[in-house]
Amino acid sequence: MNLSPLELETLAEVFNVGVGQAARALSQLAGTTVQLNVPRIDVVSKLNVSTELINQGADRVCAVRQLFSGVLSTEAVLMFPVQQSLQLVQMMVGDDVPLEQLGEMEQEALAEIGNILLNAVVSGVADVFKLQFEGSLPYVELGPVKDVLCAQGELTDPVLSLQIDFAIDSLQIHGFLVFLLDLESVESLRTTVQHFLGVLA
Amino acid sequence: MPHSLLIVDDSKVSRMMIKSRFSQLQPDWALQEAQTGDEAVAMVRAQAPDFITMDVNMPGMNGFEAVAHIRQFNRSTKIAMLTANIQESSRTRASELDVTFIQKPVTEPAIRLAINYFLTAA
Repeated sequence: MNLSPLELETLAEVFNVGVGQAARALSQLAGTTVQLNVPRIDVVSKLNVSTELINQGADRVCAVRQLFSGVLSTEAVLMFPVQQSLQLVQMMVGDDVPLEQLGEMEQEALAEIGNILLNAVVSGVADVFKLQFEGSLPYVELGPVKDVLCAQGELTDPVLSLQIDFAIDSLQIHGFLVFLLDLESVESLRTTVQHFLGVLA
Repeated sequence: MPHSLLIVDDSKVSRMMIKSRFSQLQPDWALQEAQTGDEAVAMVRAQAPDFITMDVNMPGMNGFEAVAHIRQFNRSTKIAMLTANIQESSRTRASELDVTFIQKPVTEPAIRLAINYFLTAA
């Protein structure tokens, strides 16, 4: 992995554009302000990512995963503590879905929340870099964060990890967006970032 | 005669939300649902609705492909892409297909935009 500090910073900033779009979407869903941090970017193993998330209180999580492919391929995962899942669903559907149907709609609703947020971030990145991504359908998983993050590949696989924490203070909901870029995409990524920086120069 | 709307989305919860919003804002409209692009094409062929809201990312035929199919035999039904896929390339594709583009989440303002498009577009 040979991304320079400037290239890594550029990547974080570009993802930040996408984060802004996700914040807007989440805020529309929640009807309140959403706090999102600036993305943290690291080259680490998946095990490191899961350990860090466990240390932040995300042990058992509800996760929505989507794969985005194109010039760059990334695995995008939205995660939040299991116990907040129904609350998040209620936040999304409001009064549109009767309470008795909420439980059976839970996975559907979570998939849609993930679909909206993950697409918002990826679309922001795509537009800044002038790329096009094809997204898979979202799917929902429940379990220990390590199992969720390592559903594909090995725990020790190195990845370019971009982590974004979000919080909806009024609803006491706290979650994580993680983008894991396969290192095989690194050369494409470098080329993309360098082209972007070249245009700016 | 009330207007007819076909809601196309693979997510049941999204269809429920779209349906609920339209029912509140246009209670006299006749609403139908399709879960896939293929199903939507067949339904439009059988009985053309006045208006369609179309998701993009669906299993099988995606929303853009479904619109392209529909346009081969139906030019009059107005269509709004209603999607989380908000990449510029998606907006461009919608423009090429001469349909409007509205981004999710399914909020009241988003549905009002769709209704306004339907009522005012030539």
